[in-house]
Amino acid sequence: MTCAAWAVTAALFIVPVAAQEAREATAPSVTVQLIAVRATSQGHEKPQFDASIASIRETVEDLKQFDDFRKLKTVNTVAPYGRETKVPLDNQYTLLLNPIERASHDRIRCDVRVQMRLPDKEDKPNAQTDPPESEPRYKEVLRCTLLAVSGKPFKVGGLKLDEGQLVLVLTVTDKRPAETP
Amino acid sequence: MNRKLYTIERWFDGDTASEAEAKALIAGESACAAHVETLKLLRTGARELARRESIEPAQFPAFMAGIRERLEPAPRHYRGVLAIASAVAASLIAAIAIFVMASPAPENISAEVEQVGTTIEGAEVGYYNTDNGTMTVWVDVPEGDLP
Repeated sequence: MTCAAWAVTAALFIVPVAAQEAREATAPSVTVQLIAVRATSQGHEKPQFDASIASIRETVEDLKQFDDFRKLKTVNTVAPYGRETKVPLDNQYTLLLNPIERASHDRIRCDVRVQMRLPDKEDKPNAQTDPPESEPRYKEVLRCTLLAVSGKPFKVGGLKLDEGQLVLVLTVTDKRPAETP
Repeated sequence: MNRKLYTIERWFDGDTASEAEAKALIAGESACAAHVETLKLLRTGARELARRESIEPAQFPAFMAGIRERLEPAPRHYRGVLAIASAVAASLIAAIAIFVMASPAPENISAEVEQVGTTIEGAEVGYYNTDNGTMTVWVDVPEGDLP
């Protein structure tokens, strides 16, 4: 009897969770490829790239003010439509990508935001008046809404790093067939 | 001679006592006859000056049209040009709008930007397509403006 009760209880927990996972697995989403790059000017005669990001040469070749591109992070993830997917870039910046809708057979309307973590307050909070700071504070430093072509890279950049500037090369891809938007 | 002319002038002005003498002088001397003609001409001119001009009701529209013509020459001249220019501008705007709406999105670009923004004070966000069609969104942050 006790085993039966445990089995029923487990089923009550497992079935909804599994159903939720199944729904998420089949929910429309896009695959996201992100290459976060630190762009600096080092005085090279020709632009220098990390070997792992040589593929983005054409994408960033217009940034003539830089001649040195170093990979900060590469992320491949899945972002469901209608939900914001958070990608921490470093200890300062966080990317938030929200695929809003599939606008046509090969275009994806998406919201791209970059948040910057604000420095923690140096003063100790007054225990009686100030609420304890449990979470870091963020400032939205860049927001754009784009109609991105599925599978084609676009870039977002200009944010300052300790050295150089941040360049994000993003590719969103909707692999579903064209007839099921 | 002056006395003769004076006699003629007195007769011309209505002095009947001088009439016989004046007529004899006019008939006898060419200078006196010429003086009478001069006096007649002067009298005619004086009458013309004294006559007051008046506008008949039938002439009034033409009179006002003449005044308007002098007062408003520029608007009459440019009205047609401005109307044509307005029509051409409206046609151009409509044509450009139709072209933009009807044109398909460029095939080689990687994205179209619909909206950009930043909360960094003094920063500007712009976007452009590179030659190979890569959409680039770039935030230009002034030195020292990050918190």
